[in-house]
Amino acid sequence: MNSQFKKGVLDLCVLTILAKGDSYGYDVADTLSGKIQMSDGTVYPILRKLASDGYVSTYLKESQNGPPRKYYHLTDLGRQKLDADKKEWDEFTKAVKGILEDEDK
Amino acid sequence: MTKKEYLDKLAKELGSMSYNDVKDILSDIENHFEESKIAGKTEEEAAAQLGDPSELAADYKEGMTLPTILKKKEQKAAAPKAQEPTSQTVCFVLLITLFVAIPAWITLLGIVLGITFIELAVAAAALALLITCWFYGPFLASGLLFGLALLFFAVFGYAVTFFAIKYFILGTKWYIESMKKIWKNGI
Repeated sequence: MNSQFKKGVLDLCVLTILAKGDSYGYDVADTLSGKIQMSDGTVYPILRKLASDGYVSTYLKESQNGPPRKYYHLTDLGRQKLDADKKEWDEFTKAVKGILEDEDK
Repeated sequence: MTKKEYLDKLAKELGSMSYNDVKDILSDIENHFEESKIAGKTEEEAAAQLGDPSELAADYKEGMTLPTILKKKEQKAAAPKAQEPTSQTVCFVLLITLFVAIPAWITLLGIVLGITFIELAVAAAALALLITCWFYGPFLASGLLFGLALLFFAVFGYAVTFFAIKYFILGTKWYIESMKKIWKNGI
């Protein structure tokens, strides 16, 4: 899949995953790369940008068998962004689908 | 590529970013290697799945474009305003109010009230003199003149009193406003 194409919606995917519960970098990367063909590394710059924009906050938590994990938590601002972006995405995909179906006829 | 090679390459590509940013990013990616190891992957596998380090560095740099940096600065600048007054501010306002403003205010109030009463007394004296002279005096002319002079003095005094009271009230308002401002924004 075209990488520019994917990048735009990865923010939305990351926010959606974090809306279900706090998570750490490796886990987010693992969840996403299991479903979308992408590099594991891609989620880290996204998480960093979301944190610097105030959409997610971070905290450290000890892990049983490795180094402390940096957890990401969706802030109220992040939740607002998720709702707005999701709405926009739904409208956009609906429009694209409509266009593609017209072409098929 | 081993973990060390990957991190070295990434650090080199991130070169233009600040030391703290680079340190932070490298620690995130190093932790990713650790987690991969726990999940049973070799360093080579983890590195391959992370993707090209120069692409990763480019993604990081893209996220740190100018608007993001400016936003961060704005957030920092805006933060102190929302805070509660510091103990230093509270001390300053309380001390100034208790030991300077209130004594000064009471003194000024005394002076203003004093002027007002003196004016009343002068006016009363002038009226009394005028009335007395009108009815009884062989010293009529000089007494009347003196009484008139006193009356003019009283009128002039009223003007002074008026402005004294006005500026006294304005001054009090100004003081309360400026203390409020200091309370909100710090010294």
